[in-house]
Amino acid sequence: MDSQITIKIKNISKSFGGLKALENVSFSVKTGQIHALIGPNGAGKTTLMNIISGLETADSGEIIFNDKPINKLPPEKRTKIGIARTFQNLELFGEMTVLENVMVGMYLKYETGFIKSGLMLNSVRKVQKDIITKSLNILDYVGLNHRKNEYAKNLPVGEQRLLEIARAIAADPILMLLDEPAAGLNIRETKNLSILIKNLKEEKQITLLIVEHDMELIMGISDTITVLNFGKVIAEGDPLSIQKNPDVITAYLGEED
Amino acid sequence: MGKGNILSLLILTLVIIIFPIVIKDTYLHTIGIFAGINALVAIGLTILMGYAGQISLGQAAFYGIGAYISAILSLHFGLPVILSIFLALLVSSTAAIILAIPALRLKGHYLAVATLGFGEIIHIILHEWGPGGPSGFGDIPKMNLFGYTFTSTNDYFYLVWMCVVVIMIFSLNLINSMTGKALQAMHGSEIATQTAGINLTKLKIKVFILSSIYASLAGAMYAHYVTFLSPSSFSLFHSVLFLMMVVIGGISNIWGGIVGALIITILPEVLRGFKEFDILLYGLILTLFLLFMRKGLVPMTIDTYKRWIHR
Ligand SMILES: Nc1ncnc2c1ncn2[C@@H]1O[C@H](COP(=O)(O)OP(=O)(O)O)[C@@H](O)[C@H]1O
Ligand SMILES: [Mg+2]
Repeated sequence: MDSQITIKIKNISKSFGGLKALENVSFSVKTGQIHALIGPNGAGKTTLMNIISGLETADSGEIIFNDKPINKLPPEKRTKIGIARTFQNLELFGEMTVLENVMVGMYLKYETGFIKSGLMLNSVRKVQKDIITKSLNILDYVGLNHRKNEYAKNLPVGEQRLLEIARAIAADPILMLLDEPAAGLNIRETKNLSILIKNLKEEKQITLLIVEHDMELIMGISDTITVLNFGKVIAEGDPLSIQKNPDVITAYLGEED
Repeated sequence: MGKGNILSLLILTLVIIIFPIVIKDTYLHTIGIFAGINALVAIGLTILMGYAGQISLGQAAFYGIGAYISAILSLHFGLPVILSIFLALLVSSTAAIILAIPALRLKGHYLAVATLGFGEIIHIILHEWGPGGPSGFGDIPKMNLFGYTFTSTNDYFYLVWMCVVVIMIFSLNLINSMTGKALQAMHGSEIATQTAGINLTKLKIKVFILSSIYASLAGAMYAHYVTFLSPSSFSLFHSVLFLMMVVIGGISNIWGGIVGALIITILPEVLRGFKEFDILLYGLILTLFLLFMRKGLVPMTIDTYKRWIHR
């Protein structure tokens, strides 16, 4: 059965000082699924994303990716074995063009050393051309081709979020983590985003773990939903069962004024 | 490499070839040599600061290591000059790894202070244990390549500036490659760079090594041209001068390194005519540069040119 699981979160706990951001969190993301992680602000969703991608270390617990524990791997190694991500607080390379941002996402597949690059060997030139072609294809795929030569910092938020996804696609991941990809998007942009996310799953066979507040989006695309509240998993199931779950309703109602 | 860079390289090469032929004044050739030596350091520092987003207030240390090691090996151990230079670059690279270690943890002002400390330590070592101590040493062998000994000012002018052109081509290639983009990415967001699958540690160490190799090559050129060394040429003051070159020329463009080196080297010579007012004027001009040309000379010139074209 485990072979159908892409990533397994096992008893993860994490405290910041006295604050327990995550307490004994466990769940699995099945291969080929869109798995949503929802919960009120401060529930610990981003912290878990950071632990999965290696930017933070858990106090205890284990992350199993494709049947292998990855706790000890640095962030760049995790990306190399197939985990890419986007950031809630956009982390683009602002002074670089849209095309260059995507190209950087491909560096891990085509690393050329300083000396080879400085000598601009033929092999380096070929690789460079290859990277540009592939990056342009990805920009086409997310619908940003018309922006390719603009500086990333000059894009509106909606397009910046798409660019983050494009850069993550460039790493050719098995699993993609999206942290609030619809934040700051208007209705039409959100609709396009939901199509893009479904395409990532169906056309590119990427497994997705998505943190998101937009319930309409989440209910429309998710196969499984895990609900986090105050660092603990309070529910898990398909969209319908989550919508009816009394614990989830209280957690969300409790948050509203 | 874009058309603009290739054209600029051609013009630079042409100017280098013609300069000593048209201008016969040896004094001007000498200034040209020092400007070229400084340019080597400044190009490396531009990559380190402008592209990779690091900072070094200790670049004179690498310059000094290059000069001292190459001089000592050729003078006291009788090694061929070219081999001495090569070994000096190796020693400097090792020192760069040591400096890169704090850079892995520190940023901004903290890194500036750490590199400043590194520069001071090397300066003190040269002062206390270098041949001749504070007063330095002479009789360093002249540059020698394939049996040809470089003696005239003309020889050194061409040698130094040929190095500048070669280093410039290498650097432009690097900047325009994926490695260059990774360096810029690190400047933009370290978190995103890491999660794009790039090893920050490796990248930072490598870019510090690169800038140290350029600086120590410059130092070795200096040693075998001047044939006399003392620690006073490798002090904090010189690190600051290198920094000035990069800032005034324009940190976001490696051509800025060359332009900045020319300005900082030539300006004091021009101001010499003003006698006791020279330091005052020097300071005033640099301040005006910083106030009104924040981005530096080269990037501002390019911006102006682009605006003029699009009119
Ligand atoms: N680096 C940190 N230092 C201290 N507290 C943190 C840090 N990161 C997150 N927290 C706290 O941990 C809790 C969970 O945060 P986060 O994972 O960002 O929540 P979410 O993404 O679900 O909104 C919050 O109370 C937040 O203030
Ligand atoms: Mg969050």
